[in-house]
Amino acid sequence: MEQHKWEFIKKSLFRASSGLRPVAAAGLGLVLGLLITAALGESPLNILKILWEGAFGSWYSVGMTLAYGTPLLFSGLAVAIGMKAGLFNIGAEGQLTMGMVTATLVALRLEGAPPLLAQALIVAAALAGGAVWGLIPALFKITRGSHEVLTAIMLNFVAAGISSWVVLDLVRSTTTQNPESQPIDQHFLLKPFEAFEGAPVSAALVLGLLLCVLVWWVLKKTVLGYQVRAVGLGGGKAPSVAGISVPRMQCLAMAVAGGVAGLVAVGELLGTAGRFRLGFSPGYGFIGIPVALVAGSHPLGLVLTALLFGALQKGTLDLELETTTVTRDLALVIQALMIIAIASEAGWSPLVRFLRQKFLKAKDREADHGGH
Amino acid sequence: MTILEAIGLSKSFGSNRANDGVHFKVQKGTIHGLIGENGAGKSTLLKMLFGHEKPDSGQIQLKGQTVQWGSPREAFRAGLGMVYQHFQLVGTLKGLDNVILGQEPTGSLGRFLPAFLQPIDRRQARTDLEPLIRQKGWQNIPLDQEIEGWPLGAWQRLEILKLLYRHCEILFLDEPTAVLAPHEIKALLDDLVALKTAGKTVVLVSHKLPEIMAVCDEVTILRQGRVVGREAVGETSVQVLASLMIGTSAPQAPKDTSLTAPGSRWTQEGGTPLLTLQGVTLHDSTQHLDVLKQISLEIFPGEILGVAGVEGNGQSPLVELLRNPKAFRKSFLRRLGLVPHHESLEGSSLVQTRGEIRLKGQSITTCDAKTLRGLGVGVIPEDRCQEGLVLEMTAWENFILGYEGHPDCQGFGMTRLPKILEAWSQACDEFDIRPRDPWLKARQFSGGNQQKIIMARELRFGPELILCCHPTRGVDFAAADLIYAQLRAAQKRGAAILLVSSSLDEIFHLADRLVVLYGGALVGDLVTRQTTPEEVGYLMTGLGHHGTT
Repeated sequence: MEQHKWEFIKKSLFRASSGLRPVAAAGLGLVLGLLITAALGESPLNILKILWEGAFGSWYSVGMTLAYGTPLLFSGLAVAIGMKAGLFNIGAEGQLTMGMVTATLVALRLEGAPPLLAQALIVAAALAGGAVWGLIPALFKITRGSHEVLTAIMLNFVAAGISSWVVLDLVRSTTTQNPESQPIDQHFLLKPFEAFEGAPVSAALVLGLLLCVLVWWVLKKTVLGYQVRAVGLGGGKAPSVAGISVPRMQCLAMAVAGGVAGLVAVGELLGTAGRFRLGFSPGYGFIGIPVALVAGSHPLGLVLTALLFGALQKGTLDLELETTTVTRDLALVIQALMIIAIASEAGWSPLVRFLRQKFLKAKDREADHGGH
Repeated sequence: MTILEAIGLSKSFGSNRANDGVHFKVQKGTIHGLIGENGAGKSTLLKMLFGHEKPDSGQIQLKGQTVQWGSPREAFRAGLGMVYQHFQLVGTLKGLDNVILGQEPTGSLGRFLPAFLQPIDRRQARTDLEPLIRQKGWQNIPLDQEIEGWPLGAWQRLEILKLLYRHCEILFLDEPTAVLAPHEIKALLDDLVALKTAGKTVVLVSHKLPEIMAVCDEVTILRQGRVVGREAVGETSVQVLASLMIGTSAPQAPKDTSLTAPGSRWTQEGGTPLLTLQGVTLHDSTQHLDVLKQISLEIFPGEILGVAGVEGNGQSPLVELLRNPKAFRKSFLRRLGLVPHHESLEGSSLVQTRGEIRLKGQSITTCDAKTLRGLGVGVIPEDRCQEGLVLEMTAWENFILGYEGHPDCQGFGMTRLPKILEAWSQACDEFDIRPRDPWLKARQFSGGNQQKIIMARELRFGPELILCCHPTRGVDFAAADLIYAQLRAAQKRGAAILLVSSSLDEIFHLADRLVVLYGGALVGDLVTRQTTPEEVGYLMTGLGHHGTT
């Protein structure tokens, strides 16, 4: 019995370790990035220290890290949900823009309404705007066979155009010269948490975390989640023979993904800005792709990677101030190196297999290779 | 004069001896038939002759000289050409460009340019091709139009033209008539004879005996990786070829080929059929032909009905139709033209144009797969890896695939893991599934155990109708016995089983009654006990079809 237990623990550890692979990749990316800074004549240790201090040195820094991470939580989740259904949701940027558009329009209409009700409606509007934008590529895919990546990329531009028109022509701010909308009712705004010394961390972060847990639970425990995963992993044929409607699942997943992306608006509109500033997103939707990829599309792993990317963002901001040779672009370089490390996982998987064979007993190995 | 000869070619894949000492000899200027059932080793032989695979032992001689292909390209350069069953043409290119693709003539203009930058001299290509076309009388070849949408007969001519343009001496055609309409088949056979008179050598790979008999000079018959016969067509008969191919003694015409199976226990007792098909016709809208023609059949509770036939004669469409009839309707989106004509939502170009399907007296012509599961239809699909399992999911997840909504598997929309695992462990006992770990991925099980997972799943809730395709393909003897026993048990319980199989042994072993499909039509409905494999073989190879009509 004791023996059996030990085997089980070993096995579970192993399962967990395959989940740690992305973390190893992130470490690899970071090390490569530091080597580059070393080549530029900076001390890697010093760089590491500045990065750490910048991201986690004070409560304010931690707050900023979280604030940078919050939109990535939503956009990363939007990409991950698509992945789970076997679709590449590259349109999170457009979806979050449309979520922002609808949320802003609704918020401006609701001037003077009771704050709680207004907030609920604004969240619903953000969800709906994103969901519609996510649904469109799915509909094109199932009716016409158009590839979702193409349509979604194009829709990103359409969303950008619509948002410019709405902000500049419909609800333009009358008090400033900036390309932004009128401010929404001050009472609707979410209060930043005081612990973070003024950093704009609001309930949006909590919403994001809850959403990650919810999505994880739905995917893992429910019949609906089972069906979505079957469609994503089964390539369409086996699930449809089993009576699962593949088109319906794909539409559903893309609508939910779009809605989640739209919720970026909650942090921006109700948290930090209180209005629609054109160009507020430095490409959150696109950064969401590596966030999801590094996490292996795992909704809980996402929390880690989103915060990691937030920390990188904040840490590299300080690098620019405190060194002469390294700029913010290092963050992009490190992100890219991490993605390359993950994408080339096949290259280092023999090592993993070797370890696996060392650890698992012969019996399990037999089971493992029986299928080949 | 022998132009191509294979001497003792052998090739194994794992424990499977795909080719076992194959001797194959083709005379120059003749049409040679290469026949055999699916899995007899035809493709492996061709792959070795064309340099796609290296033989384990044996050698290939071309014009008396031993050759060893380093790559398919070398075989091609030496004059061996192949028209594949799935045409290797680009739909959006013009016919002329398709023919010269990869071998474009270049003008003298670009003498100073590197080869890949030279302009294509289409006029030169045309002058090269024109005599070939005129000689064949192929005026209707779409040389100057995009070939998309042209009939497949024209595509095939382009393929042949492609080989002639490249000066191929020996032309192989793999199942060339499978996709053609009857008048196109006739034209193709005429073309082949014309090629022969022009001095080319043709190898016709097929399992349609009437066509082989019509044009070939000699035939080599493969069965289970070995050459079991080599006959001159003039001195043999279709019966002999069929018996060699199927592996029985000489097939005989059945005494009674009427389609009502007189003497069947069920029709005599006047029971009500569980499943009825009435005049079901499936039309393929891209190839403009019917893949199922006026199929009418009945299955009774407690009966195993075998569907015999050489593969590719309509078995797959029949089963696909029965497991999801709705996908074959002309859907709303299709009517509006919102779905491209070549694929519906399910990726199929087939449409049911006529007929009625009834389950327990109720029409199910418009039911989808999910509804049918609810009505008690179990499906054991042909391709277990693609259609039966989601390989990247765990064993227990695959164990509930298609039944995830059943009350035993879920409550309030959540999967009931403990209960499922309990049922899984029971299934492991009952079906001897190994290993028993429910958390292994389906990919990690061996083929036999994968099939057992599917069987356990589909039989779990006592289906009334089981659509069962090739249940023991690639499965070892012990597992096959277990699968047979389970199917029998289901039958005893009162389930009706539609058993599609390419193995006559299997059908005779299990089925009470059997129908024979040839070219998408039902050509026989027989009681197993009152017929013989010889009679069925006769019908399977299209002899009854051509002989009686």
